[in-house]
Amino acid sequence: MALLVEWFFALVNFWIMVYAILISFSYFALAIQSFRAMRKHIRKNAYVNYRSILSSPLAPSVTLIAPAFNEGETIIQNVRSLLSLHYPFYNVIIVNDGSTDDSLEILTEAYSLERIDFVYEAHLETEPVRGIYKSSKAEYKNLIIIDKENGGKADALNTGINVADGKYIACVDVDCIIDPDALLRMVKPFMEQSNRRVIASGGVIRIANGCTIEDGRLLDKKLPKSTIELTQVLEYNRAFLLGRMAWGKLNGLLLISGAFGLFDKEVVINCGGYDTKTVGEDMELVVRMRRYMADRKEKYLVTFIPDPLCWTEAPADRKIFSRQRNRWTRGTIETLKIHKIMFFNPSYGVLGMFSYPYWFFMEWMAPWIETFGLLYTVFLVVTDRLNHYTFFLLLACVYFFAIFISTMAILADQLTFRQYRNRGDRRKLFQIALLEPFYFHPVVTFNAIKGNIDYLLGKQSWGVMTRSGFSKGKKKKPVGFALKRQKVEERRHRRFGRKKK
Amino acid sequence: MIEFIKILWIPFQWAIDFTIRLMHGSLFERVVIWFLLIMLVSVVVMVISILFDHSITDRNRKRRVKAYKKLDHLVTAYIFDEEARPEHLEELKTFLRRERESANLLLKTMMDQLVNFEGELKRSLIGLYEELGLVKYTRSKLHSRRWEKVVQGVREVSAFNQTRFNPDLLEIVRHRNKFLKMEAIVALLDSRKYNSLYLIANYPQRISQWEQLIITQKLKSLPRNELPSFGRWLLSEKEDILMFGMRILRIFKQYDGLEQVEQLIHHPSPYVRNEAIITVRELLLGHLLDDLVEQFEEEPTANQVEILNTVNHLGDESHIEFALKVFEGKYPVLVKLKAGKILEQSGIPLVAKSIEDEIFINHIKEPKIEWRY
Repeated sequence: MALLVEWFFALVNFWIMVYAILISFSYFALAIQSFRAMRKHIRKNAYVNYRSILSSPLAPSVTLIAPAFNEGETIIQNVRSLLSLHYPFYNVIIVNDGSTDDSLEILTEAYSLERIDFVYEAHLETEPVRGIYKSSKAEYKNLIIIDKENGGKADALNTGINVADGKYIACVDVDCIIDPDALLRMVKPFMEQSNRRVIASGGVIRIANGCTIEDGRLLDKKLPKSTIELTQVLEYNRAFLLGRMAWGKLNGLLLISGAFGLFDKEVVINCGGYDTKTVGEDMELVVRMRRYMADRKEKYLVTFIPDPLCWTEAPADRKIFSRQRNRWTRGTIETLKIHKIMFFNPSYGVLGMFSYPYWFFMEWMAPWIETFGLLYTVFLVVTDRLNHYTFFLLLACVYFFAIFISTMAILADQLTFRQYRNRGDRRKLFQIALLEPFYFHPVVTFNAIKGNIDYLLGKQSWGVMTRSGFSKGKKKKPVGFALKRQKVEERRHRRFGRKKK
Repeated sequence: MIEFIKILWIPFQWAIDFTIRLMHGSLFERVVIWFLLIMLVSVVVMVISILFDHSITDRNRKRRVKAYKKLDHLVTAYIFDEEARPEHLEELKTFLRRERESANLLLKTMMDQLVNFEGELKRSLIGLYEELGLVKYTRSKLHSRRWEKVVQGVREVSAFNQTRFNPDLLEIVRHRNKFLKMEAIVALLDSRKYNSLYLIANYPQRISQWEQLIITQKLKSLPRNELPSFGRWLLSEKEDILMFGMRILRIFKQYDGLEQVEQLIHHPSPYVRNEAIITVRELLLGHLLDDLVEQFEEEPTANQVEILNTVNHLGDESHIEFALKVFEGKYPVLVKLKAGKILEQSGIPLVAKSIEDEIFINHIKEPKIEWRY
């Protein structure tokens, strides 16, 4: 019996070790692949003139779809930001998803909207549309507002897809700050396709908390102050620059962030649009599109661009953060369950043999194995079976590897896009990398476990996601030249009674 | 005091212990310790580069900007001050010998200036390029193994109009790196070597929309009367070349070779037919309109929409019946809307039989909705 118990412990130890080695190796391999892909992308793009798209009749048409629910506070600025992107043929569809605030009234007043009769082909089933609005002003001719019954983000996006007339659709979160050149950069992979059809493209999402934003434009990039926001900056860097970039290069990308992604409209419609029954609709759509293409044996690509194209607000509140992570976990499980046929299925190529298993073992199972590891360690301590020396040696390995990967993410940003020019900011990020495994990772794991339990209990809701908005807070007092200019203008105003411009 | 020394000694004790274990421990122990050491050293190296990379790059950038300004001044002085040319030339030669990466910086300065100059000034700048022997740098770049170096070389050839390198460019046009291939084609077009276009017309790979865009933009910058006829491209067997050919014909309003369009509206590929329909519309080939109307039923929705756009653009009263038939028939919404627009613009009253019809007609009449062709 004792021998059997010993064998059991040896077996558990062995499998935990194998898992740890596999996960570390996959992170390392992805990071290296990302570095290579990013270097190639940057070298290549140093010679590309994106502006040539602006004056070309060959530029494909794009429709930007932004669902909005109770965004009244910031909607005017957000729409203005979307309307001022640099691209020759694009229009913007804002889908008011049954907001209970005065979003529609605010929009109507700001953009002189008038209700029109509009007919479209309902390729995708959605909640009823209450009305479609267009501006009476010619300068907003590329803006369409759809007012519909509440049906959730996926349903709102599907409504937008029905109305869209562009060849490609860009699905964005209305409160994101999109880089003015984002469409030019995103459309390029689609234009470059020759033998393989590009069906979707994603870009790096950055965190806007702490940045200076005015009129929907990002003026200054700074790190946020609170620890939870700071840690998310590091986490996003790691996920996008080291993870998705590599998967994009391997054509194994399963997720394009719902905050900003460009899709081939025809493929989206053919595969049925966004799934309204899942809370992870962004991931589910990409997987379904890939499956649709693979089932038809058509050659395709899902690309990823490392350029920082979209800035979003990360949750600054622990409760909201927990809800977000909980939802992400449920979304992952739902998607993996819907498309379980792809699991180690060689007919899906990289998708079936690498991407899906990676998400299954390294994303879904990781929190479970971590929790099991923790409980197992406690058990070993209680039963006095723990070899302290080996335990601390392995713990040090795990800790240093975590720091190694986080530092690589900071370095990747530093060597490529240098988003944080201040040395203090970079030092702060490194400090976070040192501390994150102790205070942040356990919270993420806990929320993932909670998400799993909620999934088993059949919880389907998104949870309330409140955002504080970018333009809040006191306006900065002018200093230096700005202060001088203000004083001169005030003096002139007093003297001549002129209005300040 | 002794206690304090003992505490200080702990890390050293650990280091010694680790070293002993690294040399004499079990395989597992040795692997883990090596792993830890590698991680530690890598993190330290990365942190140093993260914290100090900016200072180094900023310093280099400032140095480059300073050198660029100096070179800019020297080159301008060389061009405009003919009497002092030998002195400026000497100064430039000294600079070339002294500074690291000076040749690349000088070439960049000269290329930036070339954009602004024409005629005699341009010739003197090219003369300076020859005089300083910068050709050898361009040559070495053209034969480099690194593609980004080759791109720089190709751009220099194009900027300094070095036709002697045309054979090298023609070689590069056949390169498997598509980016490099395009650079060479653009450079050849710059030196009016239009045969490079025929090379891509016969290239085994598909020509992407991005490549089409680059070529089109380049062709737009060249004198129109010098452009070759692209009508021959319509004889190609490749779909992408046929489509690109028709796009170029439309953009540059070339009318030769248009008899091929008549064949292409019956091409097996719906994408080629779509381009052919647009070509019929934009190059005003009204005599093909009846053929398009005849094949309307067999076309996919996108082509049906284009046919209706073409009818709207080129049609006459004889096509009203066709539009009416489509408007009243069972077709996709977009197709019916286009047909309705034709009727509305022809002054045919649209009668609503139901509320749905009324909404439909209101959509057609709505001035705020854009109707793109």
